[in-house]
Amino acid sequence: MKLGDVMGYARANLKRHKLRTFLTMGGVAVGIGALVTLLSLAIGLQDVATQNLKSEELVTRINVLSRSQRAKFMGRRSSGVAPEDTGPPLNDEAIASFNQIDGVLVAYPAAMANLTAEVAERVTNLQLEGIPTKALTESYQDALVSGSYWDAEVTGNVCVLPSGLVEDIGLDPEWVVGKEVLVSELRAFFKYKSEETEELGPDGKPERRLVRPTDLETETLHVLGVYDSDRFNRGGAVAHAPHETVTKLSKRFPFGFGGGPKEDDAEEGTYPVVVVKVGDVTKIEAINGEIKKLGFATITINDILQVIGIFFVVVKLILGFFGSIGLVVAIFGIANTMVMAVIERTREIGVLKALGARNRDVRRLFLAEACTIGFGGGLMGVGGGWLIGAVLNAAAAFFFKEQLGGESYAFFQLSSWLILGAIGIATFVAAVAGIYPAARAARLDPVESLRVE
Amino acid sequence: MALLELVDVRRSYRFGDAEVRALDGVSFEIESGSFVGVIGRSGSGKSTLLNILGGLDRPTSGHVKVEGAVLSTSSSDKLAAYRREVVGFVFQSFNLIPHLTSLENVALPLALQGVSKAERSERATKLLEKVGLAKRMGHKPTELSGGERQRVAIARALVNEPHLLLCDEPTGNLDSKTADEIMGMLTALNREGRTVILVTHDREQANRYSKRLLILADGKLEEDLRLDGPDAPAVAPPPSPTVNPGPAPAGEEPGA
Repeated sequence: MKLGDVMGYARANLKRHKLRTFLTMGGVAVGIGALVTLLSLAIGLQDVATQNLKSEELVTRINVLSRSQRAKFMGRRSSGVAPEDTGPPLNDEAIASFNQIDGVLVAYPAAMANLTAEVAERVTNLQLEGIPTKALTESYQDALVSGSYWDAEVTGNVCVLPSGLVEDIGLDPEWVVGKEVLVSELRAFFKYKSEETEELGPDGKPERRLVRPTDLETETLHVLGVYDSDRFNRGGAVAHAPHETVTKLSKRFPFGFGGGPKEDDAEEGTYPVVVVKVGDVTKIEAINGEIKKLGFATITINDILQVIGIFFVVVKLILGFFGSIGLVVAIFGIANTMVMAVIERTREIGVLKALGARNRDVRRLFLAEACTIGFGGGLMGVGGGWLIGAVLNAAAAFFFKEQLGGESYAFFQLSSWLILGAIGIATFVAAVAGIYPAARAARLDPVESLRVE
Repeated sequence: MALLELVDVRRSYRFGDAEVRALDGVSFEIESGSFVGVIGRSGSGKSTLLNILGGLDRPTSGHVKVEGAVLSTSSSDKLAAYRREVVGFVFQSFNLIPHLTSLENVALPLALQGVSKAERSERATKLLEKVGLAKRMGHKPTELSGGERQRVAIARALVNEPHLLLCDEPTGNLDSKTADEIMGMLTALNREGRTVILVTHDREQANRYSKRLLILADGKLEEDLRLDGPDAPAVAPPPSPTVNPGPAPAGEEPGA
């Protein structure tokens, strides 16, 4: 008997008992629906957790550390490095060797300054990241909301602010370009005094303003532009400035790590972290390999994505386990329906055999029926799981907008492998449930079966 | 040449310690093109004999040969192939598949053979026209009368062009007028050259239509009667009224 005919016959039989078929499919649908909902949550959460890590700026960046530093950062087990094994020193000589690797845009010691900033009578804390002019790729230029980045000519005490910060302190991104930012040490934030002014605010009380202590050491930065902080890190507050400027500021207002040589550690003239900026994303693994060959440890965004990926594999396994419980129940439902069908149709099986059906034809007919139930239930379950996810996503979006005034995330996401996998699993599981009833039908003795009323 | 040949066929069943001998050493040959009636009381072994001839059951001992092939020792797949290609069954209770239309029921044996849908439909249609059910093709068995159902069943039994038509009390559930129609149809098929074996407990019916009569009792072949001399040739003339008393079947193809 041809497969198409087997399927057609199975479908016709299922249509005969619409309610029973529907109820059995419903059992599968509940199991698959739960599985799909839970796994789409895992996919959604993983996406939410990693979407900020996939910006071009992070993807084209290799952080080079001494081997012992990496062990501290990534955990001893994953690095497999003894704390004493530091490898070669991460110094200017090392940076020069990185700069010679083909495909490297620029290698530079990571520089970050944590400061207090005053702009247009507003005081905030400010993280300033030092970026060499060479490392300002197109992705930086594309992210600009207003103004421009520095270049070889325009440099020195300049900065580009993140749009998130500018909006938080209530300034217009266009207006702020060309203004001055007064930076001072991080502790200075607490030295500003709050004072009443003569002007009255809308509530009738006098407006207050912050007054800078007169003896505060400051440095002035010119705002060149504002970049879209969502492009680099959502809601981020890291401002960009030329590498030399940040190195200088971090030495003058020490807090966090500067671009200069490490002081707390024994080895003189070494850096804790060196950033290697790669021009072409596709070359990153090759370059990463070369740096490792030189004896250094590295962290790329892929390492972090990998750790997150492992974590989410565990999450998916756990959620998948709970989601599968319903499916196990559905197996019994299908097996029950199929055993009933075999008993009910004993005579029909006898007729089929009398007409020349082989045992395997009969077995296939019943397996096809079970698989069709599984397939239909799988479709229903995927549809149901999608619906639940969509409703919860909409609810989350509503909550985020109303309560938090921000954008929501898609916490439930379906992927094509999840859809196909869920339907495939439903069909497979149904086939497993159908094995015993189908074998029982195939074994029936035709003479005995034809005697059954 | 003998179409089928039985040599000392025995079939016994065990019920605990008791052994029931449904067939107890039956031997005979049947020529191609004959119309053989098998009669006997219930329990005489006639159904068991029919099941063994149809490849639904195997004898406990003895040999069954059909067209030179030994059925008694064939695998279940070989027996299924034999049922698909050589035999057509007509049952007392019709045994149509209730959820299939007449056309689908008739086409079912062809589906089991793996024949394409278009050819299946064409051949089944022709047969339903032949049995006079051209207007009933889309009807399900519950929408048909008993006689119509049996005609669908006959069409189904013929669709695989069987050499051997096995009929188990085909008129047992029908009124006498319809029964005559069905018997007329079987006679006509026999005249076309098909070998017909008719199992019945109705001695009169067997006498009227058969050319040869096998009488079973207690699992043994009690009598083997030739009703019109030696078996007729493949395409036999209509049975003569002197040999087959009683009303001859009204039309060759009722309803056509």
